[in-house]
Amino acid sequence: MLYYVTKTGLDAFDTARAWGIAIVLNTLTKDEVNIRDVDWAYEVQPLSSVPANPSLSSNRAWVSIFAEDGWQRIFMTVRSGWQDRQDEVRQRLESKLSNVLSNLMNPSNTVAFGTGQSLPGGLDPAGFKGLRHITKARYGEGQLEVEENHWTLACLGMATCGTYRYSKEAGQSNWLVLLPGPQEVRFNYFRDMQDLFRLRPGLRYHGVQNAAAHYAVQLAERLRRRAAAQRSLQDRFSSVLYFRLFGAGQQTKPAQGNQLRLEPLMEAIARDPHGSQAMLEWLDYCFRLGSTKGAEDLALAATELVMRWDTAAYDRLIRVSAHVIGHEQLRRRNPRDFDRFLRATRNEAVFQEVMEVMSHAIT
Amino acid sequence: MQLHEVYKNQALKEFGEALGKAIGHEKDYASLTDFESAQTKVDFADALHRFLRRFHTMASKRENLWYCPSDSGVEELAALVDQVAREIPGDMQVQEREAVRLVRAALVSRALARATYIRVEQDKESTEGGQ
Repeated sequence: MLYYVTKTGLDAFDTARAWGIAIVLNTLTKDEVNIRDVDWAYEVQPLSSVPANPSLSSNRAWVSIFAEDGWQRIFMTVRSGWQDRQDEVRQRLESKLSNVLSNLMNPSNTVAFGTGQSLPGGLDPAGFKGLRHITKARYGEGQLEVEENHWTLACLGMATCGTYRYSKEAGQSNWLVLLPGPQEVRFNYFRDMQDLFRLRPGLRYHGVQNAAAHYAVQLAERLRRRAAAQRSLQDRFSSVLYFRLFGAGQQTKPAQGNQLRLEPLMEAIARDPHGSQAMLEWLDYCFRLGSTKGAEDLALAATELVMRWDTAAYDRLIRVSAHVIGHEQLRRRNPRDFDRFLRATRNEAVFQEVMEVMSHAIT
Repeated sequence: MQLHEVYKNQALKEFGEALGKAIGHEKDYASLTDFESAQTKVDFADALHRFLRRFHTMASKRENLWYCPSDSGVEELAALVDQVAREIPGDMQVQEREAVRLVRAALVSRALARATYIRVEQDKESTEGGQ
């Protein structure tokens, strides 16, 4: 049976809903669920059929989903009551499950705007508007409200598959938010997916693009390992959606978002899972070393390359790398990553693979 | 003509290896900066000539012989820039700038791999010497 998540144009909201329904179906069937991007919608298909009288409330896996950290982050732009909203998602999905599922089985289902729950900034920056509480200045803007069933699925998807990373830049508190967009993905268990979407802890990122580019490389490397073991790339992701939430006095607000296309990396892995290993490792070391004070150029140049895959970006990264290898102070600051970077860079195959990716990305 | 095709050029390989040696052994970042600032074919050819002179000086001071790229290699690389430029859309200025960027990227890639190889070997020697 196919379930359809028709797209609204709010990228993060649409993608989060696709992950959300996949989690629900996976919890119900305890089996694999396939997600496929068909341009106008995400088609979600469980391998096993959904039970006749589906119920989530007594399911252990379902209960554990609500212990995730992501819940609080989604409602970061709301001043208080995130737990009430989390409970609302849970109760609604438990009580209206049949209704949610039957609605999504209809390919022409659409999301009604204007009634229901307002989209929080931690879920979709494009849908976020105005303030979430009354201020003395009486400033207010209309909030974008969406139908509750879709809102619950989006919250569920974002809490489990979204990544939130705190970062402080120039005294400004930021949350970097990342969400992968599936192209053709098999969903086995939400903890497996979270392992796939894990962002290396402890690194300092220079902006949300930098975090998104490193996330893309780490995701690609994990997919490459799977592809090398299975001898073909079975799970494909189309993009990484990213945006930033920043502390604006009394409230957290979303800012600066976009998406990073993953096709060049996915194609490289599909062409040769073993051959792309050295390149992905090298890029990973560029980001790791780039998080060190004094090597910001390296991180930003690597970010540019992963975002654009063009000659100008490559030229910059290669020149910055040539300067970095003579940077003794940097070596003293981060000897482990510096040595790893050196060892990865001496391999000519790395550059040949990057050039190969670029040649496919340009045409 | 794409980057991976330019990368295979023999003259570029010779110059790249030499630049890598100069950076790895002699920390010759002046030549690298010279290449970085080249915007036109003439700038690029001048940077190649200057590098070649520096490299001859470095090579002459070393006990073990270093293979030096030939002067004709400069002409070959200038011709390569022309060849790449012809295939790039846009006006002549854009074509030249982009072609220089592409050839330089391939050249520095060769140099980077060589220079890091040298650095890793030097580190190994110093570690073994220390022990």
